[in-house]
Amino acid sequence: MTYNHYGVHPTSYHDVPDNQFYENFLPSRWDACNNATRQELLQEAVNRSASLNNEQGSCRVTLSDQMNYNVLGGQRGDSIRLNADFFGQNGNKDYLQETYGAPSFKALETAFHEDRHAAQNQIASGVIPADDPAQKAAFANNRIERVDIPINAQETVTGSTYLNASNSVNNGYSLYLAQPVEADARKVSEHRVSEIVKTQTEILQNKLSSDTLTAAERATLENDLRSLTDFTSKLEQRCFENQMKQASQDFGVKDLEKEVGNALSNMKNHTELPVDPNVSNSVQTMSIHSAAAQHLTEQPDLSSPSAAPSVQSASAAQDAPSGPAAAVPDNSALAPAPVADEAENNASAGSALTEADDNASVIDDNDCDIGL
Amino acid sequence: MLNNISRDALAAALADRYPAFNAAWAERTADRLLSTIDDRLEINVREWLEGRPLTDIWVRTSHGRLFSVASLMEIQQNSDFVSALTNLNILLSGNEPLAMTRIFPVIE
Repeated sequence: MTYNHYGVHPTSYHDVPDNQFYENFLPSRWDACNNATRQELLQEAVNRSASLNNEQGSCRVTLSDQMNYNVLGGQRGDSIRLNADFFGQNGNKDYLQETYGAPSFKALETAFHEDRHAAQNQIASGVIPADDPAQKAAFANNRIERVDIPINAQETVTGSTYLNASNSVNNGYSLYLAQPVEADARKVSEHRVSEIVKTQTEILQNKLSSDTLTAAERATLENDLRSLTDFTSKLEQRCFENQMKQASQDFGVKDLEKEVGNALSNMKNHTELPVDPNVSNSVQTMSIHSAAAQHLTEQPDLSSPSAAPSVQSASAAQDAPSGPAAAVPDNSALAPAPVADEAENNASAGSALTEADDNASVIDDNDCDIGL
Repeated sequence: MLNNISRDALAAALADRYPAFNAAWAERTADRLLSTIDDRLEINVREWLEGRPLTDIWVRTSHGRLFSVASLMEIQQNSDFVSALTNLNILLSGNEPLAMTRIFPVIE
């Protein structure tokens, strides 16, 4: 790690070997850690990730209780915030457990994800080298920057070349996932955490083969192993590759990630790379909403007669502030929701759905292969 | 697989109710829905085509949550039937983690 103005935040775990350090994320250890210890562990994980990314310095990590409940983490400048409402000792673990398995390793994955954004910034700025020139260009095309989007021969509206997540519309969320910096962060963080989990699994299996374990020790190890197995299984199912496969099907395209990258390049650099028209329109609509959410401009008046006809998806988007119009039927009875980081989608809203009508049919484990 | 739904009627309804997407998308999506949606959800497709209220066909997750197409549309806060239907179908297919990340997306 290079010690310079990018900052360095050494921890007491600095000299601990990787395998030994990552044992701290096993549930039996993590669950007993208070927030200060968790923050220090996540700081050390980011330090190690920054080193792997060849970053200059590393970000300061804080476990924040000031983040929205649909946000796991965020990175800005030299700071990474991770949501204490999920990853803190008193955080709500239910959603993480249900969707990801071991919450501690999702915390680790999120730390790696956010740190990758820091690396991307340095790559786009030329501070550190890219893996290849196309990667640098893709990251540079995908920063929070203002871009003018033509709506007719004379007029433009302000968009952003970073697409904020649109929480309540799947297709909007898919576009957010597919943009270059998010796609890269997902791939890197998933790969990194899966390697660590694989190693920790092997260590646990070796320990369990010992004949000298007490019953309590064996039970603890077995419980940790079950958590890692669950995390691995769920990661295989919800991995970025599978998300993009489904998202591409939703849009009816072969490779949504490539389409979105091309659309952003066309917006920023006025290239004419091939893009499916539905994807192009949706990206433009999300770009316009993102610019407003990022305070790059005032919310555009999309109801303007001169604006509406030319950007196909924008005309419907005025009814669908929660996402791109492309995903929304025009007969929607839409309840407006804020865009992006401020979206009000409840990550545990499913709890309201545990009561079914007596007369309604219920498909459960007995008559279908949900099987989880 | 939905064998009793007219492909032309479904494509026409998709084109009509998703005006921001083009006709080619409507055709492709009709084909995708017909070939991938579990036939236990066929009644919902028929109801949507006919503009009738959707019957709650509840799917229970491994953690005891219950979801139907209509309830997913409530969570989405919109009337995007295709997304809700697709997500419930993913749940039915057994990929609960993928379905959950789409039903309750989080930002990183």
